[in-house]
This record gives sequence, structure tokens and C-alpha cells, in this order.
Amino acid sequence: MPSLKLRLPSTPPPGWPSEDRGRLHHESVTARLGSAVGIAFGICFVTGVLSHYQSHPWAWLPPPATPAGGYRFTQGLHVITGFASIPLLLAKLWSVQHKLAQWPPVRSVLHALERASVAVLIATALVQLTTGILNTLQYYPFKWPFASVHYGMAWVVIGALLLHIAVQLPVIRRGLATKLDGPLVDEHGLTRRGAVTGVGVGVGIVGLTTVGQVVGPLAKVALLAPRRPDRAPQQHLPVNRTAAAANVRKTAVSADYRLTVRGTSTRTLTVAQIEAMPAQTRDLSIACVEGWSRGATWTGPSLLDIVAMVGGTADSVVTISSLEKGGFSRSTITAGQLKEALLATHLHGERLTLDHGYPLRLIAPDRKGELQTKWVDTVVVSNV
Amino acid sequence: MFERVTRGGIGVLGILAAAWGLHLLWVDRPYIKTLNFGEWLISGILLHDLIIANVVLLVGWLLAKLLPPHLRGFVQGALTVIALVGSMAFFVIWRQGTASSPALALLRQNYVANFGIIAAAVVVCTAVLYAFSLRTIRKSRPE
Repeated sequence: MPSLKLRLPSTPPPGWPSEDRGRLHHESVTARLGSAVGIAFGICFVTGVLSHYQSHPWAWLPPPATPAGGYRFTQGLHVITGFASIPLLLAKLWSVQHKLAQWPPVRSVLHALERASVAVLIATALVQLTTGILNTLQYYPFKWPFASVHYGMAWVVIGALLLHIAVQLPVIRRGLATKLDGPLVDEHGLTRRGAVTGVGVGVGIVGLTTVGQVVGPLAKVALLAPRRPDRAPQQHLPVNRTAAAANVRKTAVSADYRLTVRGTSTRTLTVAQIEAMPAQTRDLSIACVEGWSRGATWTGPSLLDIVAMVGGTADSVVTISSLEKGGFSRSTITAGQLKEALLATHLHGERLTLDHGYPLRLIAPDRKGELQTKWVDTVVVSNV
Repeated sequence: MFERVTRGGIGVLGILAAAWGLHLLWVDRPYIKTLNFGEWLISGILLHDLIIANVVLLVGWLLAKLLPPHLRGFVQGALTVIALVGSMAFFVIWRQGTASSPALALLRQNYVANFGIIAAAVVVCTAVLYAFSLRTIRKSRPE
């Protein structure tokens, strides 16, 4: 299609930067770093979609209750891979830095579109990773809702990445087929093999020094982990939202507190009545959407026993509401998670503290932390 | 033929995924300050292309000018590792101590010191590797 060709002078104008940035800027290096970025982004995307599904499940396919630590694993992997993707993406961009100086900048309309798609990929990937890490730090300097935009942008990033792979596939194959033999350094400096190894070591250190917020035995080397669940001051477990932040400090300890259970009938229970119910003890982890997690021992009445008081069964749809108002004030639980859930009154054998959800909190296996509703005051049973 | 079909398939999948993502963002538009969103998208590229890329270029150029050839590769390697770890450390150092409550166990480490420990470990490991390489070179020289 000759009409789509753009006609630019064959030589760059005076002062145009050189495209020659040395031997490290080679497709053999780019293909390896790009493949690593592709794998990392793929992991983040799949685990992110799983996390999104926990909050927005299809009615006919409820989130499973097994394996109990499933969400802990997938979300831990999501966030740690996200952390590691920051240096990985920067290294990949460095390896293709010389392309900014390529002449002509665009050869045809198709080439312009391809470069535009790369710009979209880079811009969205940088924002996605930056805002993702800021979310784990609970810092929101941007003016949009994090969760829904992070999810929407994930599709844009993965789509632009797939398009980039489709365009570059022959180069990727050629680059991966080029062996990186020889020493890590030689008389000219770092070799291509050395550069890829250096990036691998850097990314590995980021992973190793952050994964301890998920994997307890590695907490001692979690030097860069935003969270240190092993150092939580209350009941050996961090909280993500305090009673003060949720504005429930008075209502949660009020003498007027009652748990209301609605189904085919309505029951109200005092704290003493709840504590007098047969209790079960379960080892279940809290796994936060922000990536940290920690196992804990919970005690309290089975949610199913409470649901049964108003005619509910394991097939019911149960909505749990909190004294807290706002985004995390309600969650729905069904199927396997419902069967295994507790309305916990105790954590590690001690009465729940206010910040951990006193007087009652939901705890169920393989469930997103923000759905483990705290300061529970209402249980509504439907589809009875 | 197989490669063309594969590339075409991946490309179409990519376009569909991106279109779905754009649709989701479009649905969310009442809650997004569009100008702020655009600023973030453009700032990321500008920050990288105008500042980070050029700083890396400058450091590489300085290393090539100032260091003897054999040492250069080791220093380049160590700086690569430290800079990449620093790209993550930057965020936690920046936000250190800003969590709303100690109960969150969030950002309560001394990240400057921790990053220093990692950087020092990288330097020590690099120095050991450099010393080994010098020894190998000396041994391989004829008497």
C-alpha cells in the first residue's frame, strides 16, 4: 500500500541523537527481558482477575472455599510479581531506549499505529504499576477510584502487550534464539549475558526482600516489604482498617449492640448470647488485597448455625453487614465458604480487639480480606 | 503460514482485550478526573524518556570515561542491581512512617537503612567477584 508510506528524508536532521547505544542494546537482551515482563504481566493479570472475581462472582459459580489458602497464594503472587515488575519494566525500557532515536521515527501509517500502541502500553503499564504499589502503601494521590480503574487498565495493558507481542514475534524468536555465551564481564565492560544476569539479580532481590509479607519464614529478610505482619502490635495480626478509621469505636462497644439475623423470621442476639453458643476453632489466614497475609486461629460460632436460626441452609445467600458505613460495610457469602465460615469472637484464644472487629467478625477460607467483614451487626439470609 | 495465523490470533486477542478495558474505563468515567488521569499517563512516559533514560545514559557514559576497562563491567553490574532494587525501595522510603496507625504494621521499617544494607551486600559481593577475576587473570598470565 504505497499511499500509506510516509516520505521523510533518508538521513536524520542535524542534532538528531545517535541510535547507537552500544552492544547491550541488542534484540537478544530485549527478547529475554521482554519475555520476563510478559510472564510477570501475565501472572499479575490472571491473579488480578481472580481477585476481582472474589468481589464480583457469577451466581452460578461462587468463589471456592478450597484450597483454604488459595487467595493468599494468588494475591501474594499478584503483589510480589507487581513489585518485581517495576525494575523489570524499567530494564526492558532501557534495553529499547535507542529506539527513541530511530530514523525515520515513523515509516508508514501502520508503523505509526504500532508505535502509538507501544506508547499506550508503556504509559498504562507505568501508571498501573505505580498506582498498584501506591495502593499497597495506602497512598492515593490520584483522582480516580483505584480498584475499578486498576481492573479496567489491566485489560488495556494486557491487550496492548498481546498486540506488541504479535507485531514483534519474529524479533522475539530471533532474539531468544541468539545465545548469550561467555563471561558476565569482559575487557569492554558488562556483556549482554552480564546485563541480563544483573537484571535477574536485581529483580530477584526485590522479590526476596518483599515476599516475607506473605511467606512467614522469609519475614526476616523482608527488608523492603511494606508490611511486616510478624510485627503486628495487636494479637499478632495486622489490621487494614482500624475501628477509629471505620468510625465504630462507640457503636461496637455499646450496651445496645445486638446482632440482627433476618430470614424467614428475625432474631436478635446479645453479645452474651453469641458467646454462649457452641464455638468452633479454625486456623484460617487473613489475605489482604494489598498482598500481605498471615495465618491465625479463630474461634466463634459457625455462621451456618446462626443462619439456621432463621430457616437458612448451606444453599442460602447470606449478606453480612457491618456497623461500619461505606465501601467495606457489606459482603455476601455462599456455598463452600458459607459452610466453613465462623462469626469469630476470639483470635488466638483472646477476645477480638476493637481493631480486629469486636464484637464479631466474619472469617471464611479462601476469601479476600476486605470481604471478611468486621464489626458485624446484621446477617440477612435469602433464597431460603 | 502458521506464524502469520499465530501473530494474527494474538493481535486480535490483544485488540479485543484492550477494547474491553477501554469500555470498562469508559463506564467508570463519571468517577475519573480525566485530566488527572491523562496527566498521569503522560507523566509516566515523560519521566522515563526525558529523565530516567538520560540519567542512565549519563551514568553509563561517565563509567566508560572514568573506569579502567576491567573494573567497568563489575561496577556496571553492581550499579544495575542497586538501581533496580532502588526503583522499588524508592516508594517505601518515600512513604516510610506515613501509615495511619501502628496496628496496620505498614511502612514501619527503616527502609533507608535496609536499602543501605542491600546496596552494601551487592558492593561486597561484586568486590569479591572482582577479586576472584583478578586472581584468575594473574594465574593465567605466563610466568
